[in-house]
Amino acid sequence: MAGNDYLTQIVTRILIYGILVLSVEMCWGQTGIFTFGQAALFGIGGYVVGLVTTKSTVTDIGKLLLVAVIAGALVGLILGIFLFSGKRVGELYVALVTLAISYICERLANSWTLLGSGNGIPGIPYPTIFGKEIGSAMGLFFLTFVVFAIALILCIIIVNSQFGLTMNAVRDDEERAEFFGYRRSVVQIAIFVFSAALAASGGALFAVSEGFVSPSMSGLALSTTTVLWVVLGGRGTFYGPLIALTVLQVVNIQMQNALPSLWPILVGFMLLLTMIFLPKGLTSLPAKIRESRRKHVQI
Amino acid sequence: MFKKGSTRRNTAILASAVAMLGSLTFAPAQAAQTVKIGVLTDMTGAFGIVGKSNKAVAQFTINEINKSGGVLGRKLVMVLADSATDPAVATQVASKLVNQDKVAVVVGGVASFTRVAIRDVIAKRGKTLYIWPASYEGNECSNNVWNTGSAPNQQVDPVVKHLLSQGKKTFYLAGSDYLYPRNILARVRQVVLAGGGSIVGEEYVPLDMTDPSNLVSKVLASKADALFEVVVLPGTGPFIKGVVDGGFKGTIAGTLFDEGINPIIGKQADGLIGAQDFYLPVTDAFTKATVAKFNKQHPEAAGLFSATFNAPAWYRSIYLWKAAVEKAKSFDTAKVNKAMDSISLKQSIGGPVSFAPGTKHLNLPMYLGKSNADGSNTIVKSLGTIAPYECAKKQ
Amino acid sequence: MSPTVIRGIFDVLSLSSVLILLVIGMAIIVGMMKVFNMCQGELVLLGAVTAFLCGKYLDNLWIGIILAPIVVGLFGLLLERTIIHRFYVNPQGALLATFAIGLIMRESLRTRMSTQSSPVDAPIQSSIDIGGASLPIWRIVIMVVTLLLALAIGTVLLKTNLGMKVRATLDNPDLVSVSGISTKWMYAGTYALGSALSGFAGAMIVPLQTLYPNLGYDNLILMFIAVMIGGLGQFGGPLAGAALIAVPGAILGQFISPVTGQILVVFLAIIFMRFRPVGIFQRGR
Repeated sequence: MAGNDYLTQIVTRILIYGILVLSVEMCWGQTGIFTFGQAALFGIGGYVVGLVTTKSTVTDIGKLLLVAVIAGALVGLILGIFLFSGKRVGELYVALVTLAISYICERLANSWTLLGSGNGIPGIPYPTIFGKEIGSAMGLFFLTFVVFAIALILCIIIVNSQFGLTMNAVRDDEERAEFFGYRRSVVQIAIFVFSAALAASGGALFAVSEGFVSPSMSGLALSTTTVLWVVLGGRGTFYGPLIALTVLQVVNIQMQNALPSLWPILVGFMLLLTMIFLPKGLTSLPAKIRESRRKHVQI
Repeated sequence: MFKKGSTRRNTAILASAVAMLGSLTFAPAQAAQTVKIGVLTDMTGAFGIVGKSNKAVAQFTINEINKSGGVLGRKLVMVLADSATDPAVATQVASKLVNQDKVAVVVGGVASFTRVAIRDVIAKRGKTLYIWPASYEGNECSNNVWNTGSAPNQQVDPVVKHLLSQGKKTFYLAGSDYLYPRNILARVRQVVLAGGGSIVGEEYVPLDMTDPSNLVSKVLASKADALFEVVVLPGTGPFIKGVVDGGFKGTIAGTLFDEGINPIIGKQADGLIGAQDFYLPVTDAFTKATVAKFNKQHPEAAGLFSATFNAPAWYRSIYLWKAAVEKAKSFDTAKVNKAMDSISLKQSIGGPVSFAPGTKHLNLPMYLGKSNADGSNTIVKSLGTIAPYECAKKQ
Repeated sequence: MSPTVIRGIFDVLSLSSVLILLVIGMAIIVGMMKVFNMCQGELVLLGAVTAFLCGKYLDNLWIGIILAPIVVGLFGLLLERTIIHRFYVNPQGALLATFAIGLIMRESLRTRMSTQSSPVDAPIQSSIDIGGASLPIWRIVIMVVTLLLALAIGTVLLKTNLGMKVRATLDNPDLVSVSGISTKWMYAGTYALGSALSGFAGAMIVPLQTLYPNLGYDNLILMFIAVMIGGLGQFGGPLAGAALIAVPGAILGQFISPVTGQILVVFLAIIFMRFRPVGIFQRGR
């Protein structure tokens, strides 16, 4: 397996999407903010890195990640304040606004010449760390793995903390959480900013490991695929969506060689069937089977 | 967070996920007497129809070569990869071709955004030869990359000069908003101004524009003598229909008109002017015989052998590579790369072709064509062999 | 008035009427039933496909235009009875489930189409000359039809007995079922109506664009934003919303690039929606 760059690149890409999954899970799974716009922030992170590396000589990965995270956090902050401060708006409004933001971002990426319009920004150079270039597939994998691990640990810490309980309270019932005195706005904005920063860092990693950014990375398709991974894997846990992501990506790649045109249709059916029969995701399947067995035993 | 479910179950799921990853390393073994050619194109997505043509032409060419003994005694094997009109997918499949299947050469890409995405993966990081078989906007001079489609000066100059010679003075430029149309129209502008004409408008529309009304109105208001348009699918049809039905009196020209695209536009295709390296009415015996053979062997792609679907370029690409390999007496990328620069084919679709030394592009036999309402194309005149103004020989 | 100005006004009317026609079906399903129907675009697409097939095999687009609402209406009925009714109390689920349905429909068409876009000729292809500007008659037909259709549906909903029953059911289903009206079939019928109207719109506008798999999807966001600006809960709101986005968008598109115009309008729409006190967005239906 060593020296098989192709496989390494696939795993790297799965880890990058994994960061995106974490961001949606924190936002939606843990805090109840249904967002369609993570891909927009993913794209923002990627494009920022693309612009910085091609218009200047900065390639230090530390600086690049920092710039991407700041950009993402800023956008997240503005959006967060707009959506969550003051009066409550329903989660569907949030979903639609994030959808619209994704649309606007994809449109902008496709038409703004500065961003390369339809072609995106190709030729992004390898990142460097302490002056040394990370030029191999293995190197990029380790970089991504480290960032992913940090992100995962951060998420676990937050969720298990007192703040995490507040997040869950807001998710389960916004109104009641407010009555109990929790500052709903602060919680929502804070998590939204955190998720945005996560997504943007994922985008930055995508830019340096793939070597290019294009409008499709900030588009609706990626946003909805991420939501699909979380739905299939089950909201409320981290490992569920991550496993769903891994399995689906692998199947996706195999299918691409065999039956490329059938894959999106299969994805649609999976999503539909999950929504109808397993709304809590695949991780609830064992529990459901146990439950139905119990029902049969009862006289 | 991590459910207090059975740790064993979680480990089992993770293990199977890892196993599935491992399944990807499986690549069919390569027999010693064969050579793999990577065929990368859009089989699905917006440009899926082009991919269908590309696959058939590649298969046809490879079969033809294998029947006459292969290359350096080895049979060619086609490894097909679908880039799904998505650059993110394109890089993934390109990496598979280069790193896992270990192909000797990659031919492919339909849109420029695919080419720029996969170029580094194949030619730079992958150190593999990459042949780009499409008419495009020029400026591709990277190492290990060879262009076998027409360059802007070959498609634009004759057309603009023809229009100017017919007394057209004012030009309106319209295109989809990405690199290809922008660069083509830049060339149009250059030639128009150099020939004494003037530009009365220039406008770009997004790739997924649904209603071209605004652009149509602008074109009509300009009352230009000629419209040079590079609005690509799916917007081509509605735009041209709108302009023609709106009463536009000028001539419409472009780089993407021929038997493949005319039916998609409909009867408003009547009178469209363009220059391609091939149209069906081309009369030389070799071309006629080859196209006839193709239609017979590949009925599933009947009618898809056309210049805008890059069919002639695909055919000549594989033969050019074969010639270079035979000259270098090796499949090694560096050696073939060196040999390519001086390769020529005495017989090919549309006429003989040769690489213009130092340009990484071909001297191509070009034809000025006019589209007809029934979908066919007439050849207005044969333009002879035109040299490319690219890379070392920029003009 | 110069021909350019005439054309300009005509374009604004034409682009607006197209969006309003597209939104009519959504006004019923999303506006009145409050189902977040992400496959509304594909219902439009299905109507367009019906028209295309009639044009191709029967050589008669008029039949296609009549057949489209029937076909799509029946399809909508089927959808509602099998899938949609499960999600009336779960808006998030509705969003995802209908998105999945749309994905399946869209991609299935993509695999069946050998060319990625097929032109459809309008039943009336000529243009009429007004003040020096050549205006396509089919666009004028669409303007007239849209106006009549909106008025007709509005009248039925507001002034007839049937309309009253529909509105009552959507407002307070429990009370209505007690009075002997089958809420199940009311819902099904309403969804079918919304689908039929979208199918009709698809058949009418496909000659203007072209038949391609993303026909519905590309229009979806604009349609949703129109509905949301207009406000959920009534039929007229979404139509007003459509006019509110289409008119400025079309006017702007004449002076700046159409993309910038659209982005600007969507942007302003989002901000506008935030401050409009619309009760429907509160949680806990």
